[in-house]
Amino acid sequence: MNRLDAAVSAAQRPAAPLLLAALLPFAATLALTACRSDRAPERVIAQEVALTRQIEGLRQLVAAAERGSLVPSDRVVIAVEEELVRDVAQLALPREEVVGGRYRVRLEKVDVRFRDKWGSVRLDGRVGPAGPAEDGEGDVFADLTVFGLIDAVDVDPASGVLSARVTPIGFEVGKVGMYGESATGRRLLEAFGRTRLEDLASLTVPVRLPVRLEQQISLGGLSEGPVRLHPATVPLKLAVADVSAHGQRLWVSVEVTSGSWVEAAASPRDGGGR
Amino acid sequence: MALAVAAVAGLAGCSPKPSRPPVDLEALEDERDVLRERLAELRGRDERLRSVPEGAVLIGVPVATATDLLRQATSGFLGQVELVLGGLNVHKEGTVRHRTFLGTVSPGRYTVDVSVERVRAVLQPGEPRVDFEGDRIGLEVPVTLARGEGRATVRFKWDARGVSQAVCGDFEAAPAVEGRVRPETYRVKGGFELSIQDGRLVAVPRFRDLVVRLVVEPSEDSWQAVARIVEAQPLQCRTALKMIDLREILGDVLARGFRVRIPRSILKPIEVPAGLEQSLSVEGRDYVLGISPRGLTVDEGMLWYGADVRVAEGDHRGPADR
Repeated sequence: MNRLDAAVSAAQRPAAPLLLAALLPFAATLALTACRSDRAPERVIAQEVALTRQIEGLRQLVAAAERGSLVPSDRVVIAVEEELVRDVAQLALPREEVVGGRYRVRLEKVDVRFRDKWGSVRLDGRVGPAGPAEDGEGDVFADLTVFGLIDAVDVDPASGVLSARVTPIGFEVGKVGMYGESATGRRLLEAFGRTRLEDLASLTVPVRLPVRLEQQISLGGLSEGPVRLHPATVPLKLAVADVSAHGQRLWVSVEVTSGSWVEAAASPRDGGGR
Repeated sequence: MALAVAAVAGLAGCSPKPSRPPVDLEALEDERDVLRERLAELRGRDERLRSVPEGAVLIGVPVATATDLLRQATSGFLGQVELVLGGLNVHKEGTVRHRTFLGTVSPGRYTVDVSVERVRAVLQPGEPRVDFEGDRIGLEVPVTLARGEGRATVRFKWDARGVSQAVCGDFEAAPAVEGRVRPETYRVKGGFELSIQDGRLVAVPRFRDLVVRLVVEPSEDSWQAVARIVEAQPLQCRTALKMIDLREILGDVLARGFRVRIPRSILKPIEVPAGLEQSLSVEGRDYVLGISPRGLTVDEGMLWYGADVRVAEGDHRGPADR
């Protein structure tokens, strides 16, 4: 058994249970073209789940808009255009990862869509065997698209920068490269089709939003002269309350609660607030 | 021909599944499209959305939140101010004159030198009033001199003149005087101008210098110490010194107080705690971001600022390319 066959063989494991889907703009176009007509129901299920989730999201947005506004008036709101998020996410590409110890995945392009309530991320690249080329097997590769969902935005506790968490929700293997139509290549790709989503988690790029939230207001000290200032800080508690994608923007609502001034023991310097 | 294999959320290949009722995908798509149209219509009518400025990044702060932050920051600034004076000297002198049937006599001269070793007081801000007027924020806050105390040495010198020298010669006394700083309330009026600096919304303070006067009110113990200056003298001398109201003299000197100018510069610009990053670290590499402010609006109870952000061309490369 050569290296490629070993990879394929090792991949013949029980599939993960059917879960979510929620594909949204990108995923709604998923094509399970490998399925023959007698296996069409899987495709229907995926589209049904995607559409249902889209409808659910749209209903939430419509309800919010009918209540008054899509933008809350009692929270700090940050809205970022999808083009900028795409550009920032693209900085992390190209990116290569070995998935499941058997497949080398290279992601080269990212796109994001902020519509219908959910933030969707699409990563395009290709997949092939992880090992070195043997007998031309290194030429076996296929186009790969990983679909992800921005399901949370967090404030980095160290830097205060907003970062979005992308959870993979599906993938698609498409056009196959040279020798891909060989029996080995076909088996490799079919086996990759059974890759569990958890194995793809390492493929998702970090999506950092170029917005920083201060987690305290600081007051520098002045220790000389007739007017002096005691250094002090007031902590700000920041909590992302809601994330919503619409109008080609990702809208992040942040609840800000301030504490009380606390005198700090910092070394005296010019007074200042931030 | 391309081989395509797809998996969705763990959907394992194309194995047969139990039959289920067919789903009307077209109906779902129709419902989705109707909702999209409805959402587009509602977005167009959303006053709050219409008030946002242009820009790739928008940051909106509720006016109420901004008001609270400015109120708290201003109170915090002022509440941390301590006024400390020392090494101050006040001098007063005079000649005592007394009209008698023989005419006016002058039993002597006095000199009072008050050496203030230390006066301390802290400011205690009251509840600020904040008013938004476009991109300017008016603020008025009462500030009280509080929790202050002072310590001084009062050097009293009596220089006897004429016949009184016989009964009340020259003498000096230097009792220590302690007291509290008289509480007094001032009104600080001014405001903040909003501007965008380096991608961050900054409220720049516009206030005048605040001039306060520290007046030390001696404690009862201190007054008694002053009174003992006179009481310690012989009877004839006390009679002469009764022509001087030492308490009044000292009270006058201290009542003038000491002016302290609190410069406006002590209030620093206050950053709204949400702003744009100048650079971004991705996969261990730093990228410069070009930021172009697009606008600042206050409308519909929200304070918005927007900016265009672009990744600097020269740095727009992924780590695997390097």
